[in-house]
Amino acid sequence: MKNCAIIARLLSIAVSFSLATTWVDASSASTVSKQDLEKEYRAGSFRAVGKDAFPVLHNPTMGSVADGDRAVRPNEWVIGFAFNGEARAYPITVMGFHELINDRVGGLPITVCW
Amino acid sequence: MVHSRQVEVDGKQTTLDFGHEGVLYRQSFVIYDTLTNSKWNHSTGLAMAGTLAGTQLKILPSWVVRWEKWKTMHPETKVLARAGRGGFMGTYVADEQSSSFGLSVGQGPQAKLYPYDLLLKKEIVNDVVPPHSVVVVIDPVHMQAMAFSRKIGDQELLFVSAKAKTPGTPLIRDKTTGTLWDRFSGQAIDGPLRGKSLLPLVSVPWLRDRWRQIYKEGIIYEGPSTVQRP
Repeated sequence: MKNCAIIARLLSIAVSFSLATTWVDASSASTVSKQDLEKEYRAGSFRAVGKDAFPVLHNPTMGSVADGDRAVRPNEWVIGFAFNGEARAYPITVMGFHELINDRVGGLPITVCW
Repeated sequence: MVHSRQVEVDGKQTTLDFGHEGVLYRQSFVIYDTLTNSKWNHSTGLAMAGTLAGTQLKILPSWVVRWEKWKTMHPETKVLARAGRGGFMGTYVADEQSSSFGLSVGQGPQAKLYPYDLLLKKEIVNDVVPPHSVVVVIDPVHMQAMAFSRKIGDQELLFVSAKAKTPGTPLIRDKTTGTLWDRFSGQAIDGPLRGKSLLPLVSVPWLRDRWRQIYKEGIIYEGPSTVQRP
């Protein structure tokens, strides 16, 4: 039960964002001590595959809508992100292969995961 | 989930790069930053071990929608189309897997999950996820779910389906003022509140069983009066 309480506390971050600022200010972060966080991490985690086993992408080459139409089925889910007039789509089927992407959209450095 | 890679390290704005740790924490993968090798939960964006433990990445508003919908929303979009596909998670086609998914709204013990199969039956759910009164909607054509605050100023709105001649209409009506709203942009398009916008709330589609692992105390919504507790 103690772990549940810790998780509940560490996940208590701001949930709403305004249209004006367009993103969540999650600066309220965690009030749990580093020691308790690490303890919870060690208790709740195990190694599933080797470190860097997934081919993580860094600033990947992006295609056009026409490229997307050739590669992605119309009813496939994509993670869509738009910022500063730039929009990008990351098909979830692709995310399942690479798991993690470091990218930059509209000048903003982002990480995408699924 | 999309997070910002900018965090404050020793009082300086720093851009992190992430690699994959290969570790699962409560069925969510763990990533590490190449600067400090701290370990981050990729679902929540919280560093749990290492020198940055306790640091939270900003959650950025992203969409999970069908490709055909996204490209009409953003005709100039770029798409990651030439990379590897599949992997152990297979292909995700939302309308074939709706019963596995729910829309997660809110954080911590107050978080709620709205199962897609329930949303498909109801289309519109008026509910409360403290501290917000929320309306949760789904587009059954594109399997896109969204959550908004139901408050405009001090006024709390109650939403119903807007009967329209065209099936799959994106419109909803609030019974409180009679205003018609676009359920996906949250903008009032006709009626007394025309020009106003509903505040979108951070909401993310999750696999139900994975969500339960992280949100042990969270509630899976089953209807106005019944909730499923862990």
